[in-house]
Amino acid sequence: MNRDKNLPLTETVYYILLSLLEPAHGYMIMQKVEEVSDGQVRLAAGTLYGAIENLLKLKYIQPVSTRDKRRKVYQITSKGREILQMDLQRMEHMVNVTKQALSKT
Amino acid sequence: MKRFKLFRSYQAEEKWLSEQAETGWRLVKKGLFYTFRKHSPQRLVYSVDYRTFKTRADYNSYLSLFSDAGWTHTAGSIRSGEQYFTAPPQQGEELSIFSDKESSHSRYTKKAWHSLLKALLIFVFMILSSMSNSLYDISILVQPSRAFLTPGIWEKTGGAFWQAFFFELPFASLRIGLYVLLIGYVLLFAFYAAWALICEKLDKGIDNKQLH
Repeated sequence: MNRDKNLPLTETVYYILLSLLEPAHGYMIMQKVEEVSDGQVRLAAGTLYGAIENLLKLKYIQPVSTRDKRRKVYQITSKGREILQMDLQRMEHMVNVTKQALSKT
Repeated sequence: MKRFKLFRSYQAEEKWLSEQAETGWRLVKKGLFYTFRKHSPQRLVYSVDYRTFKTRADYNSYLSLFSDAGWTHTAGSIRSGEQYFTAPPQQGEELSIFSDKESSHSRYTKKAWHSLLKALLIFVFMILSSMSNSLYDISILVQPSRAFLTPGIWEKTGGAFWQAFFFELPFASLRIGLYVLLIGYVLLFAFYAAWALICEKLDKGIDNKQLH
């Protein structure tokens, strides 16, 4: 089976998609990503903005309308959920085979 | 204070701007020139982004993200491309608006493509507007006097010459100016494209070194 050409997701993209399961604006994404990655992934504003633009182009996320006129709020799309799920399965497989291999030796 | 300066890289530009701030000059505007205003000497980190926006709402949202993250937007506009941000330095941490190399390097790629696009637009405009006559004869570059199309203008003398000269000056300047712009954008494209390629090579080089 041919794998989606956007897989594997980068750590940055993975965490952004994960944090957009609920709607959030840019700065909230930065905070969420830092929190769920235990402070391992700290996104800078310019890098995040570029990633958001990319994900919008790929239709993995979409803007949602809110009352805040100065901050765009985004949310994951069904296509985005799908790719997140696929990357999760990919990593689960890696984790499983690695655990098995390590326990045998 | 106004200054004109070209830099070999965004990094060099950021460093220079920080040095200016430390001597008490703070960037307030960037067009063709850097405009500085006198201010108390201060240590500031400068970070330059390259981005253009389709709508005002996109631009506002972009600026809000940076200000939420602690950056002050000091120069740049919706269509300027370069966006200048400052922040007070943090101890033991190198501040940047980029947290990975790829996004930092993508500035050069974007700038290169935009320059090429502008050069092409000017080129197409020049071709289209000179379909029926040679308004943009390439020899203008070697002999700017050819930008004046009034027959026999250079043989005229006195009042008649100056009248014809000043009448046509704006058009002649436009013809020369477009050539200068065209060449400028082509040079910018070449410069930034070269940087983009170097960055790509550097990235790969570093990655390879880490692997071995």
